[in-house]
Amino acid sequence: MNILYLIFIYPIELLIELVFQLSYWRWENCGISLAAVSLAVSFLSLPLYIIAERWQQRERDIQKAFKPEIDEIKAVFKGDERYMILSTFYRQNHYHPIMALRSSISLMIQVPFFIAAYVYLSNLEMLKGQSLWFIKDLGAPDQLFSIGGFQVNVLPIAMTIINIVASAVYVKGFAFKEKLQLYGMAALFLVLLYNSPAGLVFYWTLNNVFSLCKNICYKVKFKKSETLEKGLEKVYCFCKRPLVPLYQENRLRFGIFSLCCVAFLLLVGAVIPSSLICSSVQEFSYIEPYESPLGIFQFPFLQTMGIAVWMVALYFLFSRKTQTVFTFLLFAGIVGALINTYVFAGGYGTVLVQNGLIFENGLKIKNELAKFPIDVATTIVVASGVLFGFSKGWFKQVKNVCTILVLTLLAFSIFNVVKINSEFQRFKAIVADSSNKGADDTINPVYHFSRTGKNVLVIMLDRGISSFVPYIMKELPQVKENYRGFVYYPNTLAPGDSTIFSSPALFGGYDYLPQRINERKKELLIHKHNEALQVLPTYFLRQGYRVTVTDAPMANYSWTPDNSIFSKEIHALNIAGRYDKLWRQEHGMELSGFVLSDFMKRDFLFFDFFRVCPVSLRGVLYDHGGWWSSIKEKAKDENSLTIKYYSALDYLPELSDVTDGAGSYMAVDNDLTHEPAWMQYPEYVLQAEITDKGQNRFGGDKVFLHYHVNAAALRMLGQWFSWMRQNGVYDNTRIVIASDHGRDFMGENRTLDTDFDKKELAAWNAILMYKDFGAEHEIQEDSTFMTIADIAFLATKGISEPPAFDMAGKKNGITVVTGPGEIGDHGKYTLNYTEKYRVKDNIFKAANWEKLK
Amino acid sequence: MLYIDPGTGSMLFSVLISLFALGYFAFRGVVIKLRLLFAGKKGGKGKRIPYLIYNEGRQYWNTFKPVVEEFERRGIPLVYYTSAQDDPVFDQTWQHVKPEYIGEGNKAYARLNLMEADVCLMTTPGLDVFQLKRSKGIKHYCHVVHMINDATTYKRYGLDYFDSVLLAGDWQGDDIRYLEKLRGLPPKRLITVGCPYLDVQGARLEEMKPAGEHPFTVLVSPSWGTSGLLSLYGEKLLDPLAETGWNIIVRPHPQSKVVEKDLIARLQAKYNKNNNIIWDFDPDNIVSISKADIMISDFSSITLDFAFLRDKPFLAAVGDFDPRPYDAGKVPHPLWQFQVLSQIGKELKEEDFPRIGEIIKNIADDPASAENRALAKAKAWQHQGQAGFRIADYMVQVQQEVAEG
Repeated sequence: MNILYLIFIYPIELLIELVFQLSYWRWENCGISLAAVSLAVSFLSLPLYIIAERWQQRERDIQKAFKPEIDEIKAVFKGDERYMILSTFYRQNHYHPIMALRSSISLMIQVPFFIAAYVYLSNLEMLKGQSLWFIKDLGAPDQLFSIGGFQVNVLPIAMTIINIVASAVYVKGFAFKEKLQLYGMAALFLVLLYNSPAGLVFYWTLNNVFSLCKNICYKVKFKKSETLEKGLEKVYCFCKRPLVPLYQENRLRFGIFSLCCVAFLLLVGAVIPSSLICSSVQEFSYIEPYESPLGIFQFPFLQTMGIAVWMVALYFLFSRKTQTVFTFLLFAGIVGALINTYVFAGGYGTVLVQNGLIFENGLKIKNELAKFPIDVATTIVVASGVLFGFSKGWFKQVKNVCTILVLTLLAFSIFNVVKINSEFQRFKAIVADSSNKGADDTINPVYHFSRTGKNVLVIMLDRGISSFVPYIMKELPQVKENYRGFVYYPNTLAPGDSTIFSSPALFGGYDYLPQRINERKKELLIHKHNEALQVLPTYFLRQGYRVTVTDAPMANYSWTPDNSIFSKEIHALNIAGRYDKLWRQEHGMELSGFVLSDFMKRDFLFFDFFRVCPVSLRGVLYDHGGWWSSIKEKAKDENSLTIKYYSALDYLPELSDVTDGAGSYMAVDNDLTHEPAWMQYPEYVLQAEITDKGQNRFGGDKVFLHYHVNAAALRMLGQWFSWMRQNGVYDNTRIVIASDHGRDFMGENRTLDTDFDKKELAAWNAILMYKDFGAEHEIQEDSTFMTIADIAFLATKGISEPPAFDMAGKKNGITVVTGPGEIGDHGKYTLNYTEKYRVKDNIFKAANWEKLK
Repeated sequence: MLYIDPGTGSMLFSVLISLFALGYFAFRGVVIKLRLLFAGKKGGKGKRIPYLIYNEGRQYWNTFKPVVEEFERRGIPLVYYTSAQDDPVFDQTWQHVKPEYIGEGNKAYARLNLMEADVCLMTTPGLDVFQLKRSKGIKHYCHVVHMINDATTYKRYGLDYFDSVLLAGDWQGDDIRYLEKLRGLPPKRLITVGCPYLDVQGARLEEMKPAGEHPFTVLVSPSWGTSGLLSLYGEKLLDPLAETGWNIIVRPHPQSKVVEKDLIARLQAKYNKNNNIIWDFDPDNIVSISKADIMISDFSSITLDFAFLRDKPFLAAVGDFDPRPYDAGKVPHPLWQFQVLSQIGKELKEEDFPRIGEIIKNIADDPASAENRALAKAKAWQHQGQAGFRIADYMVQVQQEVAEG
């Protein structure tokens, strides 16, 4: 989309789309929706036409008055002299030849509306195959009959006839030039639209019908319906006194108005989108075809600029009274928008970027609508506050406030953009290293099992739910069979409820519990995190093992792990995302026409308005994640993150091989359990269409979704173990499976066996499953109090020179914490947490949880 | 994953708001101080030209001559730009006047459009209408009329964008005021100073003192162009005049030699043998004027010059004068020049040509005509002999006003 389109046309296209969607949602009929769009566009542009008509009339009057003089000048003077004399004549009459364009203004107004409608309707999928009366398909030319092989489209002809009639009514008594202009336009539209989809032509025909009615009303001299302008003038009369100075002083009024427009542009088009991108730069990077998130950022910015440009254009079209009301409303609107954005920010939880800006927890329209009283109160307070300020004559102060606001928002935007750029540059460097990212068409083994030596395998499942394990084993006997030799520890605690708190302890042991990390106050947090990830690899390397680490969680504090922290002897790389293209091909789930950036281009603007709009309307605007787009939700690629991690697990056997020689240490992290998605029952397989989800015995939908990915993950790990058996490397392999934390389901998780419904518990209950060398028994359960910090000990147990892990504190219980999950929300040296507890023994007993200060 | 965190956002926002509030007010204070500083310095500088004259052609030297001499006499520095390479200003050495040739047409205009001066005096009409634009650096544009007839005989809008107009007689101001009102223009300063070039010509005639008895002499002095006397009538007029046997001086307009070469050549050839027909191509017309007893012309204002300088009658074939290209077309009365025609001279029509000798005799002896001429002269040409110092006075006054801001 080029810049001019985004600025001048896009706002109108958006409006057309909204009207179409709203009416379709109500009546589910494309014909009615087209009529609604036509009606809305005609009504909305009516005030513009009335003003345009007034201008045109003024121009006609001027031309009439000037005619004798101009004729005389043309008769008497020639060449340059004529031009210069004419120029002076115009100048003395305060007229500029460019003003003559006013006579074509109503034609020009039609142009952006036409382009917007053309772009939107000619590509609208929804019209395809829809019939309306004699039209078989609104998505194609009507082709009602043919004459000698020539397809005749009736609708464009009907449209042209109506257009000509409307023009004939309009130009009665006008100069020949104007007549020619209009009939010429009618002919042009016939040519332009003759082969267009019937839906588009139907829309334009309705517009012409409306125009005909309007012209008849004009000629019959009905009372002009200057609805909008009259309405705004009424607002003016109502609150007249405080607005008088604004009305009288053109410069003051336009000063405030233009500053408000700039503030609007910066808030909606720059600050809000850039803040969102800033909160997770990596997720907005490499959204094709853009590399930098700034490629995406330009869209909400330019689109908002378009809206601002239209606001300024409308301002100048209207009378001073209307301009005054505009200014008042805009200023109050900006104040309200700031309050909505920053005071009523609301907690909407995690935003899923990959699915086109959707809230993970969803948003219920009803719940949001219930907040209506808040909005009423805010509106009253803001409107009366602004009016009070105006009545006190604080216009200079208002202007200063606007200036400060603009400067602040500008600084905020620049700050964000610079931050985005610098974080992107860092990310770019990470991505440039092929061990971190890069798609492969062929699978090369990375997990090398030793047939002769010992193998140690530590698997982390991000957000894996421990309480699901017995249910999965019960439901899938084959999976259970694959887990022979394992001991399952249900009474396992994670020291934090998100990866940033827990993963260091998982890979580094007790020295890396959150409170131990914070005790080393002078060392950089990032260094301590990286150090924890290297504890086991370094140890095993020293013992002569081959070491492989894949997708090390948050390595170098980057969501896409930055493997440069590992030494060259350690084979560290990222598997997630490397084979998703290949997997899609093999499983018939190729992306068909889905381009995430297409959603971003549009939905980002809606997200921005979501932030500034009154709280009660946010649910409606969110539209269950559809953002009122005509492209149906199902078209969105909801599986992209799921496939990224699913494929990494599914290909585990292909990614493995068996060699002789030294033993092998392998650390594997996978996020499939972090990206809830439906799988096909009973095997919990990911496929394009999920026809059977199985029976939900676990809790709400959200719980069930998590169950699905947990079952899929355990099943695929089981397949890997089966492969190990077939290749004779199961017995000499020690395996630890753990999750870094669980998930808080707000008490909805029915698989959790506990005597208290402390919501935090579920988030701190981690998976821990352990299989030692040579173990072959059926999977067992052991309710010993365990923590994921025990893993380092379990992994190194009995191997020569095991590192000393300080596990003495465990007897008195360990401290668990909760706090923000994003890197940016923590200090440079220490982790920030909001609550902490000391927990010991049976973690499912409320009595064993002691809240600490 | 992405976590919306409004907390940090709003905190940062409020910190930034207060920082900017502080910064903004501090900045405004600095801006005001800087403005004062610069404004103070501006007054101290000044390498502007206080007085500037622009002469667009040699023929206007007589208009500027008394002014230039007055500045020289008073010892006031004056810059004199001219588009005439042979401008008589270069014939003398000046102490206080700095004459400079600045080229013709657009070359000169480009220079003038960027000039910086307090007062600029010129005879060129159509300022800011044709190529010559008002320079932002020139504070006051002053036009001095170089004709004794109506001030509306300039091309349309001729005087509209001058700050002041220096008139030969008060009466010229009425039409200017009328047009200002009609066109919604701010009123100009109108100062009656007299007519500098008539002062010069009058003085020269005094010096010549024509000898007493001489043959009766008719001076034919037409304008150029399609409405000019020669192109309209040619032989029809000259034939009967030649037959009278009087001395006939034919003095075509200097421009005729350029654009009507063929016509002039044809007429010269035809009257080659008529000894009483004398052709005069001298750029200076004063010798012919001094010899003539009557003038025949068209709508040119030279008739008034002749009448006022020599106190003798004239015949004018005004024909179908089309006022539309001129400001005259916009005032609700005919040119004063034509109104007084019947009182101080006589309109000549084509049907009068056969008896032209008789007509000339009658008008030459008419005492009423002489009386009217005196009246008209008093009205049209005020402050006779004083134009030079009056213009200088006015320029000095305006320059002081400009300098004082």
